Amino acid sequence: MDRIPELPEDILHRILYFLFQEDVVRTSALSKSWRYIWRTRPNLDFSDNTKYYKGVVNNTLQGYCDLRLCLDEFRLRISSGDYSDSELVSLLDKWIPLLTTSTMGVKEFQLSILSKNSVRGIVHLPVVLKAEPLKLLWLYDCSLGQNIPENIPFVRLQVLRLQSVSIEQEIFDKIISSYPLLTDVWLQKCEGLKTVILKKKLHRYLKH
Amino acid sequence: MAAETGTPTTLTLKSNDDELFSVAESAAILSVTIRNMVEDGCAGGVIPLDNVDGKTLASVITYMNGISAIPADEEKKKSYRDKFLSDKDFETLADMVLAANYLNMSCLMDAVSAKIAQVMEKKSVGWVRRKFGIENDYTPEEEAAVKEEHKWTFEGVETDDDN
Repeated sequence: MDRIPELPEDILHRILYFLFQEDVVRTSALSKSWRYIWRTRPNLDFSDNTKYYKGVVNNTLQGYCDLRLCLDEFRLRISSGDYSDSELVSLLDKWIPLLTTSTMGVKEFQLSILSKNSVRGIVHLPVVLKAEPLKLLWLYDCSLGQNIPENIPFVRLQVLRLQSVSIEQEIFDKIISSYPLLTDVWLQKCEGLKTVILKKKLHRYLKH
Repeated sequence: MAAETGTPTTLTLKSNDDELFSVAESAAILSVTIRNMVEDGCAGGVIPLDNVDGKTLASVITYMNGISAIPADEEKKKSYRDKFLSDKDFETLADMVLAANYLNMSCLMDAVSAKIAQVMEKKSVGWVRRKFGIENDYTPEEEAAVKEEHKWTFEGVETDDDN
């Protein structure tokens, strides 16, 4: 019966990998040996329906930063109804650079911005695009606005998933042409795209 | 590596309690650990697996054979994994996750880890302790302090008598 709690920490982290942050934090109350295991798992998942308090996301990220912990994956789902537009921009503006510091080095980032009134929350591309080490970017339920970013810096991107995203044709074309390593593009229920030009070497999985 | 044609190569694996198992190389190389040995040419005789007991190894080999018989169809593989794990108790799952880690079999590792994690989804501390046989060594005051620190995670979980 007592084999699970005896497992080594890296295996416990792999188990915790599959849970949302809320469930993971609760393991701190199981026993003394579980007190801090949750704190160092190499992924954070704030993408369930729990209303995460701003302070929780902020403090958790700051904790990873202070302890110089590695963070491979970060999933975040926020409701734009809880924030004003400018507040949202400033939070992402603060968090995204943290994610991509050399110690954390997030490789996979999932972001969704839910909004009330079925209007999609706007993700300001220049903010998201600061995330240079990203290999996977998954945006859903959001709009990428109308401003074409001047620079598209994250050159390591391999997988791009856009799901229920409003995106201007020109922005999409610019993104696609900027990533030399991009191999997978998933598009689902995207508005605003008229044509997708297929280039050789790109494997595309298109879902409508 | 196995020749492209002719009879399939069979490997002999030895558990840490000295049980011997024959398994097709094509199935065994799902384990990156074993695959590396095969590629390095160290798999000629008996392959000793010092961290896996016979009971667990037998189960892992059943999995290797089962999953490698399924063509590249992720949904069918997933339903095989679900079925394979459905009757395993926590003790067996703990052995399996250790074996999968040692053998470097990421698909099995993830499936078992996810299965164990499921138990903790939206469940109270008392529930998880009972399921996993975790002894609570906090004093009531210490436990209350830990819960107070992360109060937001204790709201709205499925509770039971000793939350």
